[in-house]
Amino acid sequence: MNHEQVREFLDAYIDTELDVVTTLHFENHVSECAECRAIVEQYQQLHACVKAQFPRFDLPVRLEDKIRTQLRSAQYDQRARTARRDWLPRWRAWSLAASVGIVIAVGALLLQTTNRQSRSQLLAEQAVSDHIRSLMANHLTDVPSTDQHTVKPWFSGKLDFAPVVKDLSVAGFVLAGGRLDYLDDRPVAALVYKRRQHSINVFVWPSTASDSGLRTTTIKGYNVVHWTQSHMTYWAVSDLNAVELQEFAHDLEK
Amino acid sequence: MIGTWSDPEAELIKNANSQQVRDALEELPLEYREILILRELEDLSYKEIAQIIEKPLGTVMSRLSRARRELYGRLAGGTTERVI
Repeated sequence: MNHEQVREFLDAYIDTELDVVTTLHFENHVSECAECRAIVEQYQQLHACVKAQFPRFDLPVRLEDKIRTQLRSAQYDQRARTARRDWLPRWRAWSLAASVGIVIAVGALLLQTTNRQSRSQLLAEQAVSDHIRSLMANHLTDVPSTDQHTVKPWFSGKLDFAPVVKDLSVAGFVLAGGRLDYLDDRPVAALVYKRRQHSINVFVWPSTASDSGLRTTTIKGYNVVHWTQSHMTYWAVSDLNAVELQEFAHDLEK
Repeated sequence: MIGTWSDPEAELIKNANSQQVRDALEELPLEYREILILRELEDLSYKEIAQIIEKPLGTVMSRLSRARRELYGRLAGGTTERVI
């Protein structure tokens, strides 16, 4: 992790919203960098002081309406609502109820999960694990090159398909190379792109599924975008923020 | 120290009272105010905030970060957020 990433993850770190791996990288850097350590310590102090003085504040009406709408659609459990009403301010109860409602709704959705979705989740987790391993083992590329005409032919003879390798440097995503990886019980192509200090792994292999739009998820703090196009399935994984990763996927998909 | 608040600015922020925090919050754009309330007052997780404001997790992270810097910048006597 570098200085910019420490600043980028600073809020998520003090909110303990980073996954274990990123937290370790963050703390390793901070323990060795006096400048970043001073920034983190000062920011933690400021945050604690301001949070302690945070006034009771009514939620904006628009937001409270949204929470109410979610509540209705989630069919919030009346018992939980009654139990909490006595000791919580009303709108605070609403927001907590929304959280409970969301959990119930997600639970209901999970119950309806098809085998395909379970498999999809499993693949997403495998893709994230492969992404982390590629960074930890310092084995990001077998063929380090920014030239698509070097990376694409390198896969020839190593895989039973030819992955599409695009030059996206104009959009700010620089090709760093490619490597062989193993996912879904088969060898796959892993294309590596860079955005600032972030690495993006794109795992590609043939699929019989029909084309699908971009689907985004977050696992262990990593963003994952998945899509299927022209009988190829794509899984892009990175610690880059979700918006930019979606831009990347969109550019690759074009 | 480069890229963070000076000692006098940090003291102003640390010593801000509840009314000053309230005044600074009221000056913030609505989207900053609401995310700060959901996090600092409600202690909701990023995931819960993302579901409530209907934005991706990445947006929650970046918006909360900008909102805090803007708030602290105002408490330090400035009117704009500090990039650190």
